[in-house]
Amino acid sequence: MSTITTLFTRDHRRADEDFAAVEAALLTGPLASALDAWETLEAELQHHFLTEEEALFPAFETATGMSGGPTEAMRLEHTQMRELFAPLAAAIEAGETESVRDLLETLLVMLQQHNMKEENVLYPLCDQALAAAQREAITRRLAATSS
Amino acid sequence: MKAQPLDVTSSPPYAVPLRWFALAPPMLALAGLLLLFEGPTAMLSRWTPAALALTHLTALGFMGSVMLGALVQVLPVLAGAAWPQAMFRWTLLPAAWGAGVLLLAASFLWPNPALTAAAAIMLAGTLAVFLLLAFLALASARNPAGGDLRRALAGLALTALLGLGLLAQREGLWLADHSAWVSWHVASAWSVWGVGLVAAIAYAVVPMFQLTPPYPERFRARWGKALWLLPLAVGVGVAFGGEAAAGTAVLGALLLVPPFAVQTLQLQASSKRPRHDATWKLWRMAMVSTLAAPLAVLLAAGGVLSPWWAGVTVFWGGFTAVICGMWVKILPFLTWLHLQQRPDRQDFPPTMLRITPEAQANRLWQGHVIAAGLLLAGLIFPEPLMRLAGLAVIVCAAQMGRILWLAVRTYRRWPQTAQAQVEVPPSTTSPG
Repeated sequence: MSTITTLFTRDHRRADEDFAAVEAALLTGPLASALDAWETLEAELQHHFLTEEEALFPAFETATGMSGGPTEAMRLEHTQMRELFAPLAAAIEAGETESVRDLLETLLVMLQQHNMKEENVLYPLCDQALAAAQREAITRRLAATSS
Repeated sequence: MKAQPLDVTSSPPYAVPLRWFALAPPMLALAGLLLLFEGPTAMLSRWTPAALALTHLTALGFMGSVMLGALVQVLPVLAGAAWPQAMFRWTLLPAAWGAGVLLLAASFLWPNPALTAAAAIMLAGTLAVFLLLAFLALASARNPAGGDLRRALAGLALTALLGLGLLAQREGLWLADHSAWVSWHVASAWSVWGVGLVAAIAYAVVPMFQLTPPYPERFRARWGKALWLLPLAVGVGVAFGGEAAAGTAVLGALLLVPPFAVQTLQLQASSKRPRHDATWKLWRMAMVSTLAAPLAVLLAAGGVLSPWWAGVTVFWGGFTAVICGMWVKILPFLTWLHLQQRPDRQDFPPTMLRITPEAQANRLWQGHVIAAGLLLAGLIFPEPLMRLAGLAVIVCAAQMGRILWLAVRTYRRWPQTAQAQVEVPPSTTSPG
């Protein structure tokens, strides 16, 4: 059976692939291909974050009555990561390799520790708290435009 | 009051893990100093006062401080565990630990029952508090990371109890086969505590920093439990005397430690990242050393090599490499994270490579390699190379101190609120 943990974790791994593609494009390809790779990753992350913020987290909060706990922390971390997006795009466009590496490194560590918390703690809690139909609807939304 | 899993208040304030980390460079520098002045003499046997002091300055003062600080930071992240707030408020805990380590090292160098008793009380007291809080925090963690961390902490408790037993034997409070108990203490410290904790953290950070596939679930579920066979078997061996205990420890190390190193090296080989940074190289060195260490232990047991070969491989090649690799990632990340969470922040805070430039990380990697080479060469030509190795260890400690200082200086100087952030859990206030 597809669960929140399985499908959202799979989406994290897809973002990892996209992240590696940005790094590879920066090393080998022209600037335009790096920018394309970044735009793909950014769209992927934005879609993932929005699915969580608009569908998964509210459903979890309603089901558990927990509104100031784990979901608040995850929203805060989404905000922190989004703050890196615009400087990253600007640095790639400007060809500022050192800045790009710096911002990518920061985004990677932030993203991965965030994913770890979700995969180890929040998603299993969501699987326990949500009814099968809710889980189905949320994972359908995640799949809708994430590929 | 206990926070919810992942609650914004469950993250430790910036200063809490850093107080533990700050002990590491001076402790490593002290170990280097001891090697510089006593190296060739210390190496005459593993039982010389200088060798014992050096071992414990490294294992407890350097590695132990970083490992306990890392636990403070990772328990909420890896296991969703919420520390009792006492862990964030009892600021003297790391200081008590550091004092205990210094007293213990002094008790080896200048044997004295009062020093031994003071060291035992300080170290046992600090660890008892730490372990109690850690097990309380992990009580509700039901995920695999929680199990991995619980096993590592149980390994630390076993190691500490055995260490206390050894101190009691040294002071003549209790008669037992000392060498058998040392084998048990060392086997437990290396395997279920040291490698056990490195593995618990590796399961998260190797895929995370190096974009590798995750560790196979089956490996993770079985290997960590199987590793406990090592101290358990050595414990049985103790009943049959020193040789049985040492033999069991060697056999156990040969069978049980390498699978983790092989698994990690395999994963590293499939890293998706196109560039290999200092962290990748240091982890690689650590895993190659972890693979070589049981062989060094076997050759030492057979009298072919000095036990110092095993010591250098385990301590410097293995654990110190992992610690250096994590040092250059975790310090800039924590600094950036806490700067970003400052209230009323208007500017964009400096990001990771501005806090710890790659050149600084590479310098630490190069320093580690040079020290490793000198330590190994010093085993063949102790005079003067072991003294030079001591100098290289001090240089590495200074570089670790510099990286820590750069991070803390950035944190303190970055122009924002006048109010000190050090004691305030940064996540309690949202930047909006």
